[in-house]
Amino acid sequence: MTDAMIWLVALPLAGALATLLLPRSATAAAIGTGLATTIAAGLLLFGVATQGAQQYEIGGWTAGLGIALRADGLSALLLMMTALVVLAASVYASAYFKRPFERARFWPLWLLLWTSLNALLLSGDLFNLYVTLELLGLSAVALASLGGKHAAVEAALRYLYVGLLGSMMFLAGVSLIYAGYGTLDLATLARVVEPGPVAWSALAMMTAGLLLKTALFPLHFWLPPAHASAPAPVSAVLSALVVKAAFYLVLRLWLDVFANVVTPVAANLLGLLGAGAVLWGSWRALQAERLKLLAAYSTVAQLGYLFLFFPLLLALPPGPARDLAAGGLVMLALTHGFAKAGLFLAIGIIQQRCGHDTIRELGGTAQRLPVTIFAIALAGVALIGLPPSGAFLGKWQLLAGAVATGQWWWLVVTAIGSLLAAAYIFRVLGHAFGHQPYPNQPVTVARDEWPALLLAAMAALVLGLAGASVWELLEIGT
Amino acid sequence: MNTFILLLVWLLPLALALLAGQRYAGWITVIAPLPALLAAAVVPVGSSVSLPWLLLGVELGLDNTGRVFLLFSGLLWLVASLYAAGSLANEHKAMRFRIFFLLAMAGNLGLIVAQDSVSFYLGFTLMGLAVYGLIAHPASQHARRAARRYLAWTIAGEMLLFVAIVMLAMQHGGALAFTVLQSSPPAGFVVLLLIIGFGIKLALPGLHLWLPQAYAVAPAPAVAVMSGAMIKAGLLGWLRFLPPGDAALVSWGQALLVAGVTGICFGAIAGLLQRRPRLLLGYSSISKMGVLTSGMGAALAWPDAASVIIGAVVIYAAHHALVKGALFLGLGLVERDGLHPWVLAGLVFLALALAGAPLTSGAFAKSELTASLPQGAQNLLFILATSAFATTLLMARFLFLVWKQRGSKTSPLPTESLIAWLMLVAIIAIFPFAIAEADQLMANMVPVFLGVLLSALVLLAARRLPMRATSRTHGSATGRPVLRCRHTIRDLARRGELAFVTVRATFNSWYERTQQAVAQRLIQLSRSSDVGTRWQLAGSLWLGIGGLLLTVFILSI
Amino acid sequence: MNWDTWLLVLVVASSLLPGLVIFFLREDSHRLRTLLNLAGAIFKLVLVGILIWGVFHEHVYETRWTLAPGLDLVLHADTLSVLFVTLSTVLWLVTTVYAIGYLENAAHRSRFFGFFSLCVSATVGLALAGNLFTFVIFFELLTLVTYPLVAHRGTPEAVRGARIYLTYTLGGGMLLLIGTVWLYVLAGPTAFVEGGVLSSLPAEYHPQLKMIFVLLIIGLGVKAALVPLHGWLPHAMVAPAPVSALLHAVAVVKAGAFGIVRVVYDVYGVNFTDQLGLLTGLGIAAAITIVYGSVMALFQDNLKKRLAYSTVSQVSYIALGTAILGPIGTIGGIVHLVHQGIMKITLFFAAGNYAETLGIHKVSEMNGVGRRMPATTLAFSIAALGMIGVPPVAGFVSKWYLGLGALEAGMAAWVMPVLIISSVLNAAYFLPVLYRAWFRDPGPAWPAEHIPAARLETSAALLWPPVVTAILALAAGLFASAPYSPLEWATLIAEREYGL
Repeated sequence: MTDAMIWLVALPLAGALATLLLPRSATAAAIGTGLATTIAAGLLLFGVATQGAQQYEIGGWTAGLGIALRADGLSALLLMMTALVVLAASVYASAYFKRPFERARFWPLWLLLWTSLNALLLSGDLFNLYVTLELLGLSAVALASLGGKHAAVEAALRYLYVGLLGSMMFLAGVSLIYAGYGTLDLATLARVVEPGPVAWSALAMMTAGLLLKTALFPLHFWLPPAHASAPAPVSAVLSALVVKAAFYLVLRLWLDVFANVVTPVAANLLGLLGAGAVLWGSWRALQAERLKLLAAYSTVAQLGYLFLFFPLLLALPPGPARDLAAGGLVMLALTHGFAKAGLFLAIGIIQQRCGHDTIRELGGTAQRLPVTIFAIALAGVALIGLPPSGAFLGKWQLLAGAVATGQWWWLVVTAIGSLLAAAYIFRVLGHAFGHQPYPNQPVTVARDEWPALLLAAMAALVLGLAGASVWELLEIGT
Repeated sequence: MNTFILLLVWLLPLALALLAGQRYAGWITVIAPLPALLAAAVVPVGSSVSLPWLLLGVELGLDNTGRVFLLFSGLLWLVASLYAAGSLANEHKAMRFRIFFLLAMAGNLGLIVAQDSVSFYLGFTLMGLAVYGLIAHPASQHARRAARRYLAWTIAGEMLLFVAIVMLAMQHGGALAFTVLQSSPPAGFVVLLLIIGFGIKLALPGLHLWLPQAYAVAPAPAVAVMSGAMIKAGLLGWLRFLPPGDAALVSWGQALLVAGVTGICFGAIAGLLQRRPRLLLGYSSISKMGVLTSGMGAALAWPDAASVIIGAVVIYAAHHALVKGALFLGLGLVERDGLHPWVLAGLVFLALALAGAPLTSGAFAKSELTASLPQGAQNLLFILATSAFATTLLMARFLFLVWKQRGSKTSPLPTESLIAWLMLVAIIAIFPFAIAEADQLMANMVPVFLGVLLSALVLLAARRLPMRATSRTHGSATGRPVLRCRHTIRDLARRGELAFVTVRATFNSWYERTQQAVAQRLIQLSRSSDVGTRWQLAGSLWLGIGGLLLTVFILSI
Repeated sequence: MNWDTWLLVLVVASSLLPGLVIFFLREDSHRLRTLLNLAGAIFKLVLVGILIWGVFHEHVYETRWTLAPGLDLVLHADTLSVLFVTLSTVLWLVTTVYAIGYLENAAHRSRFFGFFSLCVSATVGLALAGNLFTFVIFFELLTLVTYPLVAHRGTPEAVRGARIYLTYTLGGGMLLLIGTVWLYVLAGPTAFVEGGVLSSLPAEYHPQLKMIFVLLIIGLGVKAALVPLHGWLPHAMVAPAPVSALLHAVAVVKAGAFGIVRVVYDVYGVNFTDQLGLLTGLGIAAAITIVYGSVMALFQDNLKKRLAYSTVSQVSYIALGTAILGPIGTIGGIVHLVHQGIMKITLFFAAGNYAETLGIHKVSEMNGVGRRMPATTLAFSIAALGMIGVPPVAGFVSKWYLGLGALEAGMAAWVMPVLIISSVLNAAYFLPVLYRAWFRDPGPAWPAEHIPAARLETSAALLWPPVVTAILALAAGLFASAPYSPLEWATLIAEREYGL
């Protein structure tokens, strides 16, 4: 099963090259690569579940000298999510891009993005993380600019500047750590890092850089324009996966590597920013005129929820309570990944049929696309956090943690955020009811609608009902 | 077999009510009261039926009181059915009338055979609501108002009775059968509720306000059964729920006596002032119910003589039921088709019977009652005598009014109605001779004679002197002030509603305005932060956060 | 295949699966849709019959599924759940027939029937919930699947009404969730146990338990339409008649009331609730709602709005019964759950018939309708009389037990007047309707005669459901003391709750 880790990085890379060299059969190659990579991710998950955390040293060089790939429960789960989302979005994209030269530009960048995501999730040392992070950012920027219009290019450029700023900050922190401790290996660092000026500055710099890349309030300004102007499959992956990658890094740093260094007050600071994200993002989503902007602001809000967990995790003593809360956090992240991807894909369908995605004028089209609207509804359920979605279980843990540690204000923030989310989701769904005749056949175009529906169903149903295993998996390796 | 008959008593009218929707069903109402008469004749006293699975547990049975009630109620319903079958015209309306008629019959007969509080209440409620349909039948505005007033009073009474029977059930640990309920006297509050609740049905003075108009508008057969059979249900209620022969109820008995006497006087005086025969008869009913109330009161006040008094009261009730019912039916004949000589003769006889003239059932009933009263009831005897006198006057005036207001047409009468009525009159004439003793039949001579004398004098005097027009249009002694009261209440309600609506509208508009203002402010606020896309703000925020983090770590808090 | 575990899943699935399939049916496949609907309903009825028999003989049916560590989805059948499941199943069958007739030639039928079936699944799941966590899950699901039903017509009022509905119910759901989480943190997973589980907690938790109770009741009270949380109900009347019938008689409003019963009896325990001093508050809220609802109903001319406010008033009888300490009050409240459901659904079916057949939406348009549609109006009359509390219709039995229970508990001083005032008000707003229907002459023409008078006064699928439920309402009262009546079952529930 350790081979699966290599395949996870190698396959998309090879696919990217293939699509570059063989533009005519790019789509087939891409889908094929996608399937193979997904199988590899499944194998890895299975392996981690049965045999525990996996480690693979590239070239035989031991950790500390060479590049080590590590997979524990958390990364295996995120890898699986990545694979499924990208696969579904690939199927969708194969029908989305009509013109050959669009396709020629899209597939290589797409698979490159996937490579960097997988590599990031598997990396075991800080420098590797920096490299993959940078690669991720660049391919994301490139994909975002594929929209072609002036607004898309402007947004992508802004994204680029912000991304570069963030990664440079991150690099600065990494070099500080290297200077202070002489190693970049995560596992080693987790053992040796002590509170001190080095650790503090490094953590502050790395966090600041990552917060910029993960678009935490009030540093979120670049996200809505970028995600809203990108093509639908790109937006899906950007919102669902790319910003999550940066968040994953924050999580690793704060909970694993610098666990001795972080203080409750710092965690509360993150929580405060998260609360701001929840409230502000939901409010702006409610006011959005366009569906894509709504979804983008919704991402800002949902990421805020993830940061709300930090003060709770640090207030709870290590033990079953903290594990439960951590599981809730991961569940929330997973659900959001699937839900947001499904939402963006569905919005893409609407945009293609209507020519626009203005909410006020949705009316007739929405009623002629019942399955698409249903997908939006399912995704919405997961975003609001209603049962039986996985987000419900995650929010439960959030609320339970807030009550248990006596930090009532997070409870209020969550409640208000959920209600605002309900408001903006149902604002859209309200347009699905009108006087247009119901189409005789519910599913209109299979290749478009099934991926969106399946992703949304994954978020709203599967994760909620079968999610108990998430907690078990997270035990492994942490 | 007995069980079956007892069940049929109320089941048959109920079942027929369901079938009454068919055409040519005019005659089915006639067979409906037959089981009741059969039961009264055949079923032995003391038989009972127990149906624990029905409703909350139903007990049916026949005792002496019930038997008498079944007899006179059944007879009256039968005659009224025959009368109605002959006299109702319009097909659809007739069907509606039939249905309500049968439902009222089912309720009336059902409550007579009921031996537990809930089935009694069931029959009572069914009867009460069905009568509404009978009163509202003419579908004029006047009828609607009268029916509405009746309904309001009836519902009020039923509510009070509901509370009373629940409290009784509590008192006896959930048991409902009369045998259990009569084992101990009810609590004081319960007695009050029972008196008022059944008093509304019996039209005690003050609780009678529904009666005059209801009797004025309903069709004749309906009024006949209302005044004859159904009003007596109130009495039966008292008999069932207030166990006489118990010392604790003595003071209540005295209160009832007072109420009864008031009723006697009030009914008589108000009746004399009426210009319409129906209203006069209505007030006469109030007066007679006063007699029954006094009898009930006497039974409670003198527990030792209770059973005898009650027997007499029941006989008096039977007499009044038949006579009053016949009077209304006869009046109905007059109203429809003018004054036929047969009808006039019958009415005169009935008038005398009601007054209690010798050789009539009235005399018999009256003497039974006076005989049953114990030594201490001298005042009551005097009042009863006076009541006979007053009734005679009342009946004289009644006949006078009928004579004066007869229509000129003497068109052919509906044969069935006339025959049925005459049969009833015959029964009323004959039955006293079957059961009474000679001296009873000769009672009451003096007051009646005096009454006749006075009436004759008044008549002669009236012929000489010019008639003064009175300004009574409503025919109700208490009409004008009540009307004003209702207008005031309606105005107040309207003003209240208006105020409520205005307040709510003001609140709504304020709410809208505030909501809009807040929304505007927030939108402005969020738009203005498009400025956040400007690098300066973004950059400083970013650096600020980084610095804050570092500070927090350094300070190690 | 362990029958004990799978029976409950099947009960839920028997409407869930047909519903999901119906979503993907073509719009014009009427036969298949009807077949699926009815087959599911009948199958569910059979299963529920088995369930009743089993629970009566103290058989244990339970299904458990772990969603997260410490959080189990539990389906469990006890006497109270069986009562509600039976009510839901029977009324769902009747409503399905009615809906098939009502929506003839309407649009979006696949969507409607899909969500309709999901609605019943959610209700049944809620009834069978074995702990508060599961209850909350199905409670929220119910909100979600009823939203499209309310907005079904697609008119601006319908969408607006649905939005108001959602605002209230999601807000209430949030409070309910917070209360449940709080309780979970204090007391662990709270399974529903007859007699309650919280009385053993130490006294320093009592202030928190009181707060939690208030949160839970507010959250549940939104659906149960306790004043002042009832604002969504009149607006939700824009839904088609089968939806209003289902929502008000069976699903949404009853779910809230059922939840209140569960919380008081099976989470807190009625004696413990009384100890904390919370029963009086609940009773007062219920009393205010009863009177307010009836007063508001007086001023409504729209027939469905009048019935909506009547629902607001009548459902609080259940809360009132819960607030009366003692088995008799309990019986009154629980049996009214069934009785009110049957009577209210009859009224809504009749209202729907008037609208569909003759275009009548207002009370003032109902003159003489008794002559044109006698069977429907007779059903309406029986149900209305039951609402007023006239024997022998079922409503009388509930009122009897509530009154008796109040006397036993010493609360009669204020409960009795509330019951009486409510009955009088009920009479005041129902009897004029009956008068208009039976005693007035109809106008020159009906507002919009969609279905002309043929052999039957309206289409068969519209006529039979109200007749059947009216007969049920009458039977529930007449045969209240017979075995297997709702009253007997409610008595059984009370016995097990109080440990008698």
